[in-house]
Amino acid sequence: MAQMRMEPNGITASGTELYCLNMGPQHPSTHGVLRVMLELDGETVVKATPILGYLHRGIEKLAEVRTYPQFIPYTDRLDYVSSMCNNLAYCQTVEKLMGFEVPERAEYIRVMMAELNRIASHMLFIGATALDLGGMSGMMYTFRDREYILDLFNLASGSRLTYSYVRIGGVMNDISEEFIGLLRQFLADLPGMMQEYDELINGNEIFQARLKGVSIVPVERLISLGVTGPVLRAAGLRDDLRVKRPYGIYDRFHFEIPTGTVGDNWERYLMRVLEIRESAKIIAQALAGLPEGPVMAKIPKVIRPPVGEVYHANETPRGELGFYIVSDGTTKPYRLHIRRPTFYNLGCVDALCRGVKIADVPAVLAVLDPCMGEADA
Amino acid sequence: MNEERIINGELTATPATLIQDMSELRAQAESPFDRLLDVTAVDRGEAIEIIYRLNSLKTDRDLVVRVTLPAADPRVPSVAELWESALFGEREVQDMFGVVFEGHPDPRPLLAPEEGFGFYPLRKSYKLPGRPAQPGGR
Repeated sequence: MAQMRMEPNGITASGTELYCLNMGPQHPSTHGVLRVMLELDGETVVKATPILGYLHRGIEKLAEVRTYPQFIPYTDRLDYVSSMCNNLAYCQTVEKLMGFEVPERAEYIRVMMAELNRIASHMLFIGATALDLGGMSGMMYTFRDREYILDLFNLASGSRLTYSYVRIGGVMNDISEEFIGLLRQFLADLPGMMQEYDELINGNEIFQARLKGVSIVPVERLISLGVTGPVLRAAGLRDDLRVKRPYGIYDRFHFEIPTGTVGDNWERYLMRVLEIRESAKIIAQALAGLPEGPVMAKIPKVIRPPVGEVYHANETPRGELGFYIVSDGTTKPYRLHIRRPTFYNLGCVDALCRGVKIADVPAVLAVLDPCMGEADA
Repeated sequence: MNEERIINGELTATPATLIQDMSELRAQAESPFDRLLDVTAVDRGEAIEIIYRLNSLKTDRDLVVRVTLPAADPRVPSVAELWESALFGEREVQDMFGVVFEGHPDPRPLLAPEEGFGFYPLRKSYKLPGRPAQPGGR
C-alpha cells in the first residue's frame, strides 16, 4: 500500500502530457482490492504500478501463535476460491516435516478434491473474464456449474468455500456413496457444460478479438519475474509441479499439460479452459482407482515436529504455492512463510500492461486471475 | 561457482559476496539459476537470516542461498538487478523485518501502509496484542 497521491506527470516525446489514472481498489474488474496506478499517454498505458496490501491480515504472524492443526482454517482464507489446494499444500508440508504416511484412500480423495477445486476455480475465472470484457451472460453459466461443485464440497465437508477438509494425516471424513454418485453425474455433465462455454464465450468472435495478440511478453521476462502457473505455461513452458515433481500420488495419473505458443491474453485464457478437461481426466482416473480403507492415518494427538525446516510446494490453479516452515520443536511453528503465486504473478502487471490500450487493462488483470486474499496474505 | 560450497542444496553467502555469488549462479552454464522463486527471512533473535530460493528451469535444480545479518542493522545488497521477482519479494521482507535492501529501485512499502506499520510485524520482538476487552465483556 504505497503512495496515495498521484505522481507528477511528464511530457511524452510527441509533446503530449502524461497523466495518471487510479484504478481500484474498489473497481469491479480488479477481483478484490487490487489497486493499479496507471500512467497514460492518451489511451495507451505507459506504466502500471500495482498497489497491494489492502487485505493484509498478517497470516504468517498468526501462524506463530497457533498449533499446526489450528492453522488449517487460515489456509482456506488465502486463495479463497481454491481452498482445497491450499489445505492440501499446507498439510503435505507438515506431513513432510513429521514424516507421516497418508492412507491410500485419503490420497485419492485429496486428488479428487484438489482437481475439483481447480475446475471450480477455472470456471469462476472463465465467467469473471467474460464479465470483465462485457459478456454479462457468460458468467451466469459458469457460476451455475461451479455451484454444482460447491454443493459436492458441501456434502463432503459441510461448507461451500472454506473447507478445512484436508487434515494433517488424511482427510476430515470419508466420502459417501451419494457423493460418488453425484460426482459421476458431474463428470458426465461436464462435456456438455464445456460445449456451452465454447459456443457462448470461447467461440465468440468479439471475445477472441479482444484477447488475441494483446500483451505479449517474452518468456525470459516472465521467468525473471517469478511468474508460475497458467500464465507461464501460456508462454510455452511446460512447467507444472504435478508433473515435474509429483506430490502425493500425482505420478499415477495420465494427463496433459496444456501449453501455449504466443503467450498473449487469449492463450492465457485458453490454458484454464484446457486445464478443466485435464482435471476431469484425473478425477475420473482417481474415481476408478479409489481403494477402500481408512481416510485418516494414526497420528499423535499433539503434533510436535522435530527441530528443522521444510519447504513444500504444490501446483494450485494460480501457480506454485509453497509453505516454508521452521520448527523449533514446539507445538507451534517458529516461522511460517507462504510463497503465494498471486503475489509474484502480480509483479508482472507492469510488464503486461505497458503498451496496451486502457480498455484492455481489465482483460490483462482478468487473465492473470489474481486472488487478493492470497497476494496480501 | 565452487560446488563444494553447496551443502545439502544450500549455499551460505555474506552481504559482501552476495552479488558476486548470485551473478555466478545466474550465469553458470550447465544449470543456470534463472528463477528466484521466493525471498523470505527468519528472525533468529540476534540475527536475521535472509533466504533466497533459486530454481533452474533447465535442470529443475533447487538452491537455497542464506545470508545472515545482524538484527540491529540488517543491510544487504538488492538482487533485483538479476531477478525481477526480487522487486516484490524484497519489499515484503523490508516491510515485515525492517531489512534494508541497498540499491532496490523501488523501496516503498508494499504490504505496509505508506508510512509503514511503525513496527516490524514478523520480528520476534513484536508480540501480537491480545484481543481488546469487550465492553461488559466476558
